[in-house]
Amino acid sequence: MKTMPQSPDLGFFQDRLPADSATARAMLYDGHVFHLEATASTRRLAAEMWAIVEAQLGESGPAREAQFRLDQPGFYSRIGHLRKRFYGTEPYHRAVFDLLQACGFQREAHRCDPMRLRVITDGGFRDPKAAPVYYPHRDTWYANPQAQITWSLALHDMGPEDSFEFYPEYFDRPVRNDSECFDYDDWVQDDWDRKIGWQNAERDRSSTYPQLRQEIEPQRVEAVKAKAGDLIIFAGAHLHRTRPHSVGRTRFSVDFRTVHREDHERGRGAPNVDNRSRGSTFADHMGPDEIGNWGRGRL
Amino acid sequence: MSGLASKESPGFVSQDPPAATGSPPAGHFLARYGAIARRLADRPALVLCGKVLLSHGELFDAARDLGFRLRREGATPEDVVALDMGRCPNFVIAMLGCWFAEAAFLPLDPNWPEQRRQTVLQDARPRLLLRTEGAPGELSSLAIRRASDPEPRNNTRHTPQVARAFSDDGLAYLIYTSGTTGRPKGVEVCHRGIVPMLEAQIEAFRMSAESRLLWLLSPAFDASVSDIGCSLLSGAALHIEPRARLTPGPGLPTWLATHGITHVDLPPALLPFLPTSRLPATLRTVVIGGEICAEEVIRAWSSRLRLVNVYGPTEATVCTGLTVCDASWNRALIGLPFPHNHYRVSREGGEPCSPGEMGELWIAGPQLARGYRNAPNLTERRFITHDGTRWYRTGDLVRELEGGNFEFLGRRDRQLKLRGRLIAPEEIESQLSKHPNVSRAAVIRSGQDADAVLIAFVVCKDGCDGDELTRFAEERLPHWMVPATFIQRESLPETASGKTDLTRLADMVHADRVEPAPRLDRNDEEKPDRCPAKLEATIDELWHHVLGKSGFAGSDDFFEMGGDSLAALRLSFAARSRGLALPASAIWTHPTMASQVAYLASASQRETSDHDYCEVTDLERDVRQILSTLPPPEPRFTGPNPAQNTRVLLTGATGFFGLPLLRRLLTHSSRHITVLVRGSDRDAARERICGLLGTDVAPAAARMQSRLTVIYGDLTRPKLGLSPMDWRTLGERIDTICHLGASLSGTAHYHALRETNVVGTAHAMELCRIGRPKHFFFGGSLIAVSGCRPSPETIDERTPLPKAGRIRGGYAASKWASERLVRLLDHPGRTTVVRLGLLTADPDTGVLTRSDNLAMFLKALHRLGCVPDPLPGLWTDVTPIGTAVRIATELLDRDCLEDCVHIVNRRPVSLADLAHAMRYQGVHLDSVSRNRFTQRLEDMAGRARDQHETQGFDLCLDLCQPDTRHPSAYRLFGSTGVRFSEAATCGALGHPGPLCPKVDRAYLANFLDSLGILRGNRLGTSTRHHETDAQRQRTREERHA
Repeated sequence: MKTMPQSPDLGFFQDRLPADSATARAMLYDGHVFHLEATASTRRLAAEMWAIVEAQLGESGPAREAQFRLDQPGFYSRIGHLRKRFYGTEPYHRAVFDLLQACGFQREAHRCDPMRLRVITDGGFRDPKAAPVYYPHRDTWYANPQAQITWSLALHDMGPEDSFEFYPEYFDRPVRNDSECFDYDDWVQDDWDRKIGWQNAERDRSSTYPQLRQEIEPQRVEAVKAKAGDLIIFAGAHLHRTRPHSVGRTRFSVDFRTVHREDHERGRGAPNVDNRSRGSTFADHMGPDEIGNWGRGRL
Repeated sequence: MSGLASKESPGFVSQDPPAATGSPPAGHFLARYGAIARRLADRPALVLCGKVLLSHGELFDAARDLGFRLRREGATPEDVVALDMGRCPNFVIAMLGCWFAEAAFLPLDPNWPEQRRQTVLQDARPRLLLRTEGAPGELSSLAIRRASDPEPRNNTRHTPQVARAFSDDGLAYLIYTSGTTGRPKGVEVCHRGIVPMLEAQIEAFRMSAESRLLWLLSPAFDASVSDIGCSLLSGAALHIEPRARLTPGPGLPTWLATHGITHVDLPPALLPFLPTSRLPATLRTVVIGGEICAEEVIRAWSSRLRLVNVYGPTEATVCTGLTVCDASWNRALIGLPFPHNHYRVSREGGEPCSPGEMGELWIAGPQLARGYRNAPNLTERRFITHDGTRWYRTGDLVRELEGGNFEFLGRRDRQLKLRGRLIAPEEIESQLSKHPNVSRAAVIRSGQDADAVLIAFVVCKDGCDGDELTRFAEERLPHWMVPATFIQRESLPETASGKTDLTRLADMVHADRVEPAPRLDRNDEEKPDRCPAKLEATIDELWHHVLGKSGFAGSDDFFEMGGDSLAALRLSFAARSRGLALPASAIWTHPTMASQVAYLASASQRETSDHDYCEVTDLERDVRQILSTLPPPEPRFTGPNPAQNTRVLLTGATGFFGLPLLRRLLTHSSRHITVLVRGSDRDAARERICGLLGTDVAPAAARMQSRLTVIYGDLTRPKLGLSPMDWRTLGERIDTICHLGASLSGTAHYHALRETNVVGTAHAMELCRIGRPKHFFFGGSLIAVSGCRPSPETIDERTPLPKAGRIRGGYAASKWASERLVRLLDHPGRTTVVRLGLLTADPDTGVLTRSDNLAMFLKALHRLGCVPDPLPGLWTDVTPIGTAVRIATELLDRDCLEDCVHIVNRRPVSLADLAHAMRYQGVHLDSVSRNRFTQRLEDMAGRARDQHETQGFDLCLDLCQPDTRHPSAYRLFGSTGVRFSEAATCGALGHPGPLCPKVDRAYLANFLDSLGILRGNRLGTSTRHHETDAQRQRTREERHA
């Protein structure tokens, strides 16, 4: 396990991106995780998106408590609508590349998987059908490139209890898993909606999700604590998981993934220590020249 | 390049040469090329043997410097400078240098006989002569000589124009073609038409600065002006390679791939000998022209790449129009004229023909030549003014089709094309008639396409010797005009008007030939004499036997003398029957008689059969060298690989084994199959695969559309010729690789197969280093072990590759090297080497092929109608391909954990069993002495109808060889003295074995029947077999379903 330098303020998390994006990517591929405090633009973006969530779920009370007011189908129907909007419409595609550029990453050099809305309900972990949401995993087990970087944007303040956590010592240590069961071409063959993520228990119950197939005893667990507009940036190869919680409110956040095209072509990226998934999501990533057209007719 | 080329950027416009009398007009070649050379100064212009010799900037400067030198030596506008050199970089510099000096160049073919050369020089009267001294690659070795008898300064040429400096009307070159008067005629071509012609060609050929054009033609052939000019004016690289390295067989595609050649101008006669399946993906455009090519060949090629048929007489600057061939090609189209040219189809009296009516093609436009040198009458007859327009009467009979295209129908006169050369038979007849003993001669062409030859009928006063006539002709005519056969007649048939009746002569050719090629006498027990003098006589005799003429000189090139790939096989065969080891691969690399003598003489220093062996230690070194060129592996985990074998990449899917395997994987499993196919694009590749799968399977494949992915690439290119992104995506998608792609050749040398079989394996295996760990199934061959000397008596799956000794045959060596490479190249997944035995056609499953060794051998025996007595104790493996495919699929199904498995019939069949089975089924086979068998074999081999028959007869030669330890390179009898095991395969499949059927009398009867041997003493035709294939396959599949 590499020794990862820590930020004096944030511990495991680095709070400053190197000015040179190549260095930043190299650090990410090396396992560093960046937690960037909200800027005016990220705060504004988070606020805009949160307003849309509230418009959908907050008509008769706080949006974060809508899960208790709405029946499950109604709740997930609205969530589905939100997810499609953030994932499939032009303003949010554009926002991804603007954010990249603002962080010093050349937009033309990247392709991205757009914004996914994460909705972690209170007590959701108790539903066995929703178990995959909480599996410790690496994003790469889902046929994502080793060069993939995940950007998570907090839409509201979230504490360590309802966020997600990293297991740094397993970044470059293999764990037993069944990622070989995941074949991307099969995954999206019949339903591109699946790209958006887990939809609901009934629909995806028969699908196979890569799982950790061993007990792990991490010496170190690094949970995210973020304010609205904060950005968490990490390699998709990090072993991490969504924290199950019972804090009485739903947690909402968005994340998107980016891949530096040349790094991917040249096989640069985080080390692959245990990923056996097949296929590649890369071909379905969006380039900046595809904004407005991407996913049309499929989503 | 010192002395000629400078590194300064070209500056035609900015740095006027001090002695220049002006700048070329905008349409002049030098003006156009000056702009290119300035813009692309550092881009490669001339590439010799893969090395960049000159950039465009350097070439331009070198040519300009030479122009100064030529002026200093006295060259003035309109002077002719003879270029006494073959195809080499200096020719390009010299050609441009002449133009800088405002002179015209005259190419002299070094292979011309002295008499023709003198005739041309006397007619052309060049002022200077440029000659290459030293090696062809040394650019500083151009020597300028004064021609021995320069034309007086104030000459009185027939041409009225007085060219001004760098005029469009200035003479650009003088090229001599065959003349009906008995003398070659010099065509004077001006600059005016050159650039428009080249620009039209560049556009049609889709050439750019990224293109790489291989120049194959003789510089004395005006199409070379097109090759050179297109390359330079498009800023492309012109690749030049010694002829010996360009093997028109399977080796040429490999060479083209290695050098990334994108464009090549090929003689149409060559096309049938190049396997379209192996054309590299880099090759974009092939240009043909000059003669009619078989329609099916055109269709096959045009489905793979852009095939352009060019048309044009020398008298109209190389090419006046062209057509892009396509899969619907069914007639000899010559295309539309370039926009600046005009065609007119005229009746005898000059009236225009109606569309569809046959007439003579007239051409007008800026490309018309000035005329014929020193032949004003001929110029007047052929270049006419009609309705105020100057026309050239081509003598070609054409008709205009709907849509404006033109179809070539023949010649008005007797001129004919042979291997791209326009020949006037009258010139040959005129020369032959000068022989004191010949009173009359008539020359016709016999045969089609690549097999066409010239036949001379002669009426002699006191009887003639064919050899004497050949020698006489060779002293006066270029080699392509020397008749292959002389037929002596007391008189020649005449038409009612008293002219020679050429039609009846052609009929007589089919009836008999007076002088058949001499029989080769041979004593089996006699060791060949290997002293150079004897060898030279023997080679001369062998060439005579194969080419039908004699009296060759040491510098004669077998292929220039009319040899082709089939002739090379025959020569190899004939040599072997004389106890001389001259494999076809050696003929390509040693094309001249002297080099073949040297080759055989050096072979005598070693053991008789040493020539065809590779040292294992050399192969080991080569494998390690290939491995060292691979990029380092990406960091990957090496954990367990619970392979699914569900997404399979199959290479070699169009091959003998690959195609039925693909068929079975599609019909008997739910796997996703990606096949790597060569093709000009993805659609063409897919079309090709679906076409090969057959109409009965294609619907099934269509049903499983989502499971068949066709990508086009090239094993010989890094990353399989895929883009970096496609390469990575492929690596991440698949979990299994079945690598069967390989070139199969019984004659090719290791180096001809290395790129595909060894380097290609490395490229395919590199994919295992991308994405998840993969299972790499490698289609090896038992010949990699059994072909070694010494060879183990028993070969099982644990038998390692021999680490020392020698291995016979290029194919066996390439399989040794590729298996070795597979075992050395590490990757995170698992590797299984599948050593295949001798795969044979499978009548049970209907998988048949004409190129199966056993089938070729049995057909050859059937044609011979005899076997030697006593029969040698030879044994062959018979592994039916259907069985092999089933075993391979089951190995995939069961996720074979073995490192090595064999797919081979452990019960071989003896030659005696084969002969017995044939006789039992009523095939007539006499038992004859070995000498008689050998004679019969030689007779029949000389009449082989295609390459398969030749190979079949070559396999039969094993029956005459006293030394059965060294059977033929095709290795039909590789099981002799060896026992193969399939224990590991049986273990992996949980089957006690044997896995292959017993080859008994009933099996052989079925096999012979499937070849058509048992039906009416007639050889089966491929058409019938294809039908049987499809029917049987369908039945089989239905049964399995």
